[in-house]
Amino acid sequence: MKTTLFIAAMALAGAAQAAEKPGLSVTIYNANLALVDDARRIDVAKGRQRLELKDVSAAIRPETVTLTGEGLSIVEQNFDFDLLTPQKMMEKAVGQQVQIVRTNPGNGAQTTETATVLSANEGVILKIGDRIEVLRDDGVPTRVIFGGVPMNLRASPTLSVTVDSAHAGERLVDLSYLTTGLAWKADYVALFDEAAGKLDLQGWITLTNTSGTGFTDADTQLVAGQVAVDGDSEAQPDDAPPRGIAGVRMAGAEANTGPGQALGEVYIYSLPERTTIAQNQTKQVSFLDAKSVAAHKVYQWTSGGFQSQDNPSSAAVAVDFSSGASGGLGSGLPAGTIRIYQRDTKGEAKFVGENAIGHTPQGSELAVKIGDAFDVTVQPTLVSNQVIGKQRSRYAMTYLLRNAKTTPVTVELRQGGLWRQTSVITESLSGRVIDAYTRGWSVKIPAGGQVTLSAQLETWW
Amino acid sequence: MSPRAPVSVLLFLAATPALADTVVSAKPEAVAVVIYRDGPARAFDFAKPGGQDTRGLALIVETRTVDLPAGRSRIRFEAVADGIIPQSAAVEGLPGRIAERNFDYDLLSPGSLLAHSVGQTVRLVRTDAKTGREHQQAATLVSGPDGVMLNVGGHVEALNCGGETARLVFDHAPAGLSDRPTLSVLADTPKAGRFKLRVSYLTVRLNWAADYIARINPDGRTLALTGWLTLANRGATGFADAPTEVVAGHLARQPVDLPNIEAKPAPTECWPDETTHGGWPVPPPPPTLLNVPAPAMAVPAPMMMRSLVVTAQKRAIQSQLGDYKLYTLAEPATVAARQTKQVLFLSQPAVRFDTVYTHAVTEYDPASGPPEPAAVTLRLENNTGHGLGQPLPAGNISLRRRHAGREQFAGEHPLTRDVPVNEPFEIDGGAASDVSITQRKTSDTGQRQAFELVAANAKSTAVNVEIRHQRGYRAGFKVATESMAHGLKAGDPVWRLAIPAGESWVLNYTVAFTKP
Repeated sequence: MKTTLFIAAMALAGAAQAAEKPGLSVTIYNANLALVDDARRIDVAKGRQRLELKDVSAAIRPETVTLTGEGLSIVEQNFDFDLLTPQKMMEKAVGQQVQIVRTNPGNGAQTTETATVLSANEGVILKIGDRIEVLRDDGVPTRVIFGGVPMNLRASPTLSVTVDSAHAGERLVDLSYLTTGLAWKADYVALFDEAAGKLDLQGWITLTNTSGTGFTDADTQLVAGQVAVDGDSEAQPDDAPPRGIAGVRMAGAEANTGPGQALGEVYIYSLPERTTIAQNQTKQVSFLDAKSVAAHKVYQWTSGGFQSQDNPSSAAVAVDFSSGASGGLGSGLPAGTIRIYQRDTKGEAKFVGENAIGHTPQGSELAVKIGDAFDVTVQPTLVSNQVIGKQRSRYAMTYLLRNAKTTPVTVELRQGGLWRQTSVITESLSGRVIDAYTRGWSVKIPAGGQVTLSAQLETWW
Repeated sequence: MSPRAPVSVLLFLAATPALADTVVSAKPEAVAVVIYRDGPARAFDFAKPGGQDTRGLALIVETRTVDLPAGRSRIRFEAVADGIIPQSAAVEGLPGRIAERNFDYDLLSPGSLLAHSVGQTVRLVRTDAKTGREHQQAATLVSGPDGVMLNVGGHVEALNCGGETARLVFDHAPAGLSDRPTLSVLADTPKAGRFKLRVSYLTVRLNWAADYIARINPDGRTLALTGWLTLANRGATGFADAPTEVVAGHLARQPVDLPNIEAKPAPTECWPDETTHGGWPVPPPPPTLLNVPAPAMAVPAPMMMRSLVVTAQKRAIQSQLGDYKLYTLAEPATVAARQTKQVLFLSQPAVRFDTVYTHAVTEYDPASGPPEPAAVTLRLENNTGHGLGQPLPAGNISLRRRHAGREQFAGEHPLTRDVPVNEPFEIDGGAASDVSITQRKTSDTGQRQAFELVAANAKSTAVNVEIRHQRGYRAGFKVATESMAHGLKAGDPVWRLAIPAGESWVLNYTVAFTKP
């Protein structure tokens, strides 16, 4: 039984509210999950009937379907996923009659016979009249003609709902469900001007649709934030690092003044106009465009233990900026990838690195690592490792810092691997405590020069 | 890149009902290529078949001119690189706002043609094997993507089981399918006109490597160092007459998240399609339109690189890009699909070096063993005083020596890191043939270990030998006694011996560990 369905344009205030006009609205979460709210005008007869709902997502989670409509009560919901294939057709035809058409290889003559399918196990056994034969066992091409398609075999997974209607007539029904295959993240493009200490930041929302179905003319909202999902479903929780917000040095405490409205623990981004999210499409919509955000570059080099290195290693380069209003940005940043560009000597913008950022509140200090400096290196040497007590050592370290650039640089050098009761015996440059187990120095290196930092540290091991 | 005529399918592609005119930009007028290095790339791997299709990175900057009507239009950018990372795309130069940017990869293939035609009426055309005449019947496609089933006049059957040729004819191509993955923008134009656009994006499947040839000059104290950039294009898109640059240095990267582009073949099958107990297989049905497997459009099967081009001796010019090094090819290059190309970037005729014969000792070595050849190490300083002073991107060094007027290959050694100006570096020169070390541990008390090393020089010239004791991570290490004073290298004690021709020298030392 088939019911003709209509989709037309409408706006929906929220999933829970009853629809007033037909239309499609889609709310997409980061975790490969979307809530689809589909208001349709359907002609329903009085009494019990089966409604077949076409054009739903092929990646629907059928257990999340709700259908509401004036005067409708749901008897049962079915999701049929037994797909129609030649093999399935044959299996369902066991015990039934089919027509077989043989073509004589010699003269092309066709003969048609009626047969009963006895079994379809790794081959088909037919009863033709009073003989038993195996289908196509003689190598002669044979067509099998079936009387019809069994009710529950489908070309694609199909949602059907059996309803009881109090009266007949066309009315608006509201279908809502969760689906996988729709996801979004943010993609940022930052043009960093090192000399001016500024960057221009553009934010794009990137939607991907691999659900198997297109969503036409949908009112689209995106939700930034973590939502709990069943681990066994195909929805993926954010693949953010297990602890901390990626790329963020210090979280902000400013209320968001950028795009996105706070709702509970999440942020909602509404696309400005209805959009069509086609199957197998990546769609990008701009949501942020900030100019001249204060930014500067930081060289950092970190050692996790006390050891020598045969060769110098490059310092990491990070671009630091704030998402706060005073720095010129003034917006929270939903999780995504930030790509940094810099101009070359001819003024052409070129890609210089990319990194992930987590859901970043406004006012946060970001440190986006873009790569390693070709011309700024550090070579550590463990000069001596004296045991001065049970489980206590004095480490004498030297760090040779080199700068082949034509400008002076400052390297933030970090020595980790300390443990309890750390004390500094000597250091050639005054350092500072970064945390209980890390000491840090800010080392200036002149252009084309080198500096040796030496330090003796005592700590447990 | 040849311009491709837009096929009629494109007319169905205005997917948004908000009626937007579609403007097709068939190909860029000009393209510039910046190639980054992805991982420790080796030039000789580039031409190998197979390999990962997501390796490599390049920034492509295209110049395109479009004529836009006033109002909303969809601009399709055709002939972008096949490895495009769509979310990195940027379109500049439009007079108005970009409403959205799309990358569509629902491809028109035999499989998707069927999938989008399920439930629709198609024409089933059969050719009578006896008479050769064609019969047309209207049929409804009952199932497509998992095996074609047709409803023909109320009866249902599979396609192509009857031995005669049968094919499906469709009245039109389904809307929303493209011939290849397509980048497009939906743009609002305040006033009609001609606009020059800058379209830039990142793509995978382009990579580069640095390769050095170090020829030791007859004086034995200098070498001629030439450096080559090997550019490789593993993709299916070529870049003709493109200003080309490469970036040396290590960039932070995120895992490449390419859309899963696949073209599906049409599944037509009978079931069962073979005999079930040792009979003869059914002769395959004659090929029809739908039985032709779809060509892998977007992700071509990796194949051997077709050509390798060595350009004339024009040097690439080095400049600075942020904290990286940028090499600009002297003239626009054509990096064809599946090609590697080599360009000279460094040529230093006389780079001074010192040859040191090295040997490393650890406390875990066997107490004694046979004599071992010393390792030949070439020590260089990357500065102008030593005839160099150029940034050296990591790469492979091929070492050559001249012997009796002929050039000999003396091994291949990786330069594992980028070497900036004013840093020392070493080239591994392989094993020595005439300088050997015999190593013996003469006593071990746990806290004290004594070693004796004999270095023998069978050459006709004096050599410098360097014995290094690798201290490892044990705490409280010190050199307790030694027959000559040691120096330090990377925190380890080293003893430097200048051994005259034909002599053997003995080194004795004891290392001790302080008890905690």
